[in-house]
Amino acid sequence: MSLQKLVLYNYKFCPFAARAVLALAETKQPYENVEIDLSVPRPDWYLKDINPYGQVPALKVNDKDIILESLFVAEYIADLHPESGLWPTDALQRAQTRYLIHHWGTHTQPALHKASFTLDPTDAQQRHQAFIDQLEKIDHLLCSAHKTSQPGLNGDGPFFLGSQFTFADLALASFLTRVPLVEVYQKGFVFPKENPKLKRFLEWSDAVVKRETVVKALPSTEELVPIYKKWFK
Amino acid sequence: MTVPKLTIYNNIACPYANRVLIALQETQQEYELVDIDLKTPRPEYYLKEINPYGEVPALKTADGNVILESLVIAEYLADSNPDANLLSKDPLQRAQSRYLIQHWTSRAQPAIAKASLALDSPTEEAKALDLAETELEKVDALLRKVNITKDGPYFLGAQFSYADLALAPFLARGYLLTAFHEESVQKAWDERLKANKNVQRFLTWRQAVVERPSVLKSTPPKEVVLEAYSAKFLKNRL
Repeated sequence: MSLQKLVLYNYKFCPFAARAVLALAETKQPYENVEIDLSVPRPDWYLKDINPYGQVPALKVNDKDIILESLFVAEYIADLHPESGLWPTDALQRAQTRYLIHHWGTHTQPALHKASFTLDPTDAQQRHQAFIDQLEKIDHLLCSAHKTSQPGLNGDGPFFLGSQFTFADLALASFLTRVPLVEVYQKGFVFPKENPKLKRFLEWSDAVVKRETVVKALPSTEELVPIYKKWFK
Repeated sequence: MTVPKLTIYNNIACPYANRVLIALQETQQEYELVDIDLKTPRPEYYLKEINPYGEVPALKTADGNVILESLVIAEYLADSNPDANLLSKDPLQRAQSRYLIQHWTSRAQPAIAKASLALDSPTEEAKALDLAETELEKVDALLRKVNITKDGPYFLGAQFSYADLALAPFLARGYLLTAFHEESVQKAWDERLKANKNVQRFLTWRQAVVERPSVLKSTPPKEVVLEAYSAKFLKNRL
């Protein structure tokens, strides 16, 4: 496929835009980065020409088409580069990939958000426990990943499907870098690293956040700490 | 010996489950249908082995793998049956298809739902209908950006595809918008859309989608929809 001209409208600390940044890094797709500051009102041209809803990421393709929504942008970039191996070809592995991402967004992320950012100490214990319960569910989904006979996609490594880094890992990487924030912001919360029902989750999370492309492309947990802190009062 | 089949956990009144039925029709799959009653507590086995959230649809493969979420199931069926051509091979069209579904779900459908329940005052009703019309115009614009029916009425042209499939159950329930309003409101709404040049592409698309045989086979009759909808959303009013 001939090279597409891509412009990414991005905000460094947005975990959704990070999906697009990571997809571009994994596929080595050339692009122009336009930083959009989410802490101030969007410029008129952005609302008019790129995204009337003002959000990032947005991807402009060949000076003509605009793609919105982080997962659609990331999947589009991955589709331009099937050689990157980001998408398995097995239909069941693809379905499990989509489901894991959906599940995180619907169930895990709200619990993570609530556990991290609620400062009222009432019910803190319940919020923290609810968050751990959700991570245990993710652990279970990871353990249930379908194995094919293809190397890299047969459970032979720490990523979702095996030793190969695929779209499920990519889509959740920026959120995994935010999991340790709960321990940073919440007094008295210690992450239960010895919990046997989190063994697979921790192995997976560790491999994802330490992957070279992830380290290079995404802000580290340390860089994130002051970003959110300014919202607490 | 019978060949093991797909098992689909279904309820005909659920538009999300209808998506799966359409996909099954389009891919001409063999399957077994298990009806799950949504008005009573789910059976133990369903919560334990199929879906802890108790919802439909769900799919169990011949070798016992369970897949949840209507769009994930529909894509699984499309991926497993490439001859049905439900997913475009063009990355841009795939992105546009996903976006149309997302846009409809997060913007158009809520506006339509609001209008269907704006029954308390004429002012509320007028505002809600205006909003619904505006959202349909936005959908129309998205449709025109991709295909202006030069090649066919569906989202991508002549080929019925994923975006049409995903939204078909909601398009087929279009009458819900005015079903609980005065009859005069229903007539006026239909005339209004016919006269609005900024929803013509939407109307052409909707008609083609709802008339497709796989959609007709997979969506319930009006009486079933009205009963289920009013039981769920109007029980405090009627």
